[in-house]
Amino acid sequence: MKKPLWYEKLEHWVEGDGPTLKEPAAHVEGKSSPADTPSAGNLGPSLLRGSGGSVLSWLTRVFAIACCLVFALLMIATVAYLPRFGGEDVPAENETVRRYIEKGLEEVGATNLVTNIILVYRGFDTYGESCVLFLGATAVIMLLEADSKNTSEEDEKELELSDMLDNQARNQILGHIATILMPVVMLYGLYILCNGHLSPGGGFAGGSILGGALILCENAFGVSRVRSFFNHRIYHIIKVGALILYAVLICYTIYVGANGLPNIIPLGKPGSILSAGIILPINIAVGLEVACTMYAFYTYFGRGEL
Amino acid sequence: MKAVFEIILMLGLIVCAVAANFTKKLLPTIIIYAAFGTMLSVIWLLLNAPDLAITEAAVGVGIDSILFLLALRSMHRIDGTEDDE
Amino acid sequence: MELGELMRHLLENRFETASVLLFVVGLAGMLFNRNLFKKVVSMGFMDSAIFLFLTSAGFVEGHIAPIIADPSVPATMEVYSSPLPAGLVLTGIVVSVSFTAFSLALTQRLYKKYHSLNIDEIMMRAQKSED
Repeated sequence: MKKPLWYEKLEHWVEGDGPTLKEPAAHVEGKSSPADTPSAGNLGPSLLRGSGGSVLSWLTRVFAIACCLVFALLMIATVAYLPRFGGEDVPAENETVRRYIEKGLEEVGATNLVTNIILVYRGFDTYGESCVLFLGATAVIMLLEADSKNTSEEDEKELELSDMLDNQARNQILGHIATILMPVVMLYGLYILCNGHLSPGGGFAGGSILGGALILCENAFGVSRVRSFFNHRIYHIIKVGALILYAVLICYTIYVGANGLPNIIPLGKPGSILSAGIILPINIAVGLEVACTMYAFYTYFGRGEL
Repeated sequence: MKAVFEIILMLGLIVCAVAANFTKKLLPTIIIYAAFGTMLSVIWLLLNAPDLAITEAAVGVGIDSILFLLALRSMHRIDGTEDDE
Repeated sequence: MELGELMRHLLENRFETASVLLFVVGLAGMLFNRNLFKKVVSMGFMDSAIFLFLTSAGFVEGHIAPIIADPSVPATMEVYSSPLPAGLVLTGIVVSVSFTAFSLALTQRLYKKYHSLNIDEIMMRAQKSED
């Protein structure tokens, strides 16, 4: 089927087609080059392209596309009945939110109202989310841990070669830039972490930036440099310790709140760093855990061990 | 004026989502996803949610793109980098 | 509802309309693509569409972001946008990253075993190895 001219131009623009690179050589027989999968030579999802010739496959294709279109029309028809966007009767403005906004500063002490909600008023949900992150990291470790049964000879040789090249200081540019940038990135991550209750930020964004700094260090200086201060044992201690600290603080809050006991942790002066009770320790715990998780994702995808 | 800016950004989101399905190689898909995340981060700012903007920029663009690139590299699908060593 | 009024309402609720369209594009991509990697990317698009829908439910025109600039002035609901959907979406973004990482780990293991990213080929080779 001949494609129209505008479609071909759109194709070229999306692909960024320039002079073509030479075809990458397949490593071993069995490792596939990009040309051997059936969808490699054609553009677009295969159902739109068409794969079979029979009436039944054509009918299936048409039916699938029709189902998606009907679904889209139904959802758009539902949007037509939603309340007006930006009006005063928007769904998220009710008496609960009124309580959170008006009493938030004197009950919790943080000037960032979102941090108020996610760490104190609905703190248990955020604890569940940290547990989901922990579970995700554990699942990735279980799947990708490299032991003798699932690593082949070529993978080991590749890893050895890349380690040897790292030791020979291949990354001159990256090494020099990382020497200047890494303290700045870590400082920025710590700033966002510790200012979670005063300005936008919080544990997750700050922790991701700290994890990014560790990834930069591993890329620029090689994995042996990072292992000198962040090895397997320290990773486990920090991760599990952060979650346990978070659990203890949440239990304390729930116990004190459920039994009507007075809160002994001082709220401090709103607007200063040491305020808002337990929010700063919780942010630090969450940030450390997220940083460890992001770095673990990086190393387990890259080499199969921490 | 703000409405026009918002409509342009959202058209950009939908175009990114459609374009990511139509690429032959897999590396442009990741780049389109990163562009999508950046536009989404600006939309969070327009919707009065600065916490989400910072988190989306750090996690959605930074960490997600790194994860995708690492997965691609371990599956030898990044063209042209296989004969480096 | 007649057509002109419908189009005006859709244009006014532009974030919800865009979120619905993005969700459908992501869903169609996830169903029709044969490549496992693109399925994971489409799942990310679907997640972001839902977050857009949630956050646009908390926006009020003319109000400002929910961060108290001056602690001495008492805060009222008539000044700030709603902070509640932002908290929900923050959780959602982190769960989405976890899910993406896990799916990519599964894809990598599948590739190592079957040497293909196409789901038809993987099913064929799996059935062949079962016989």
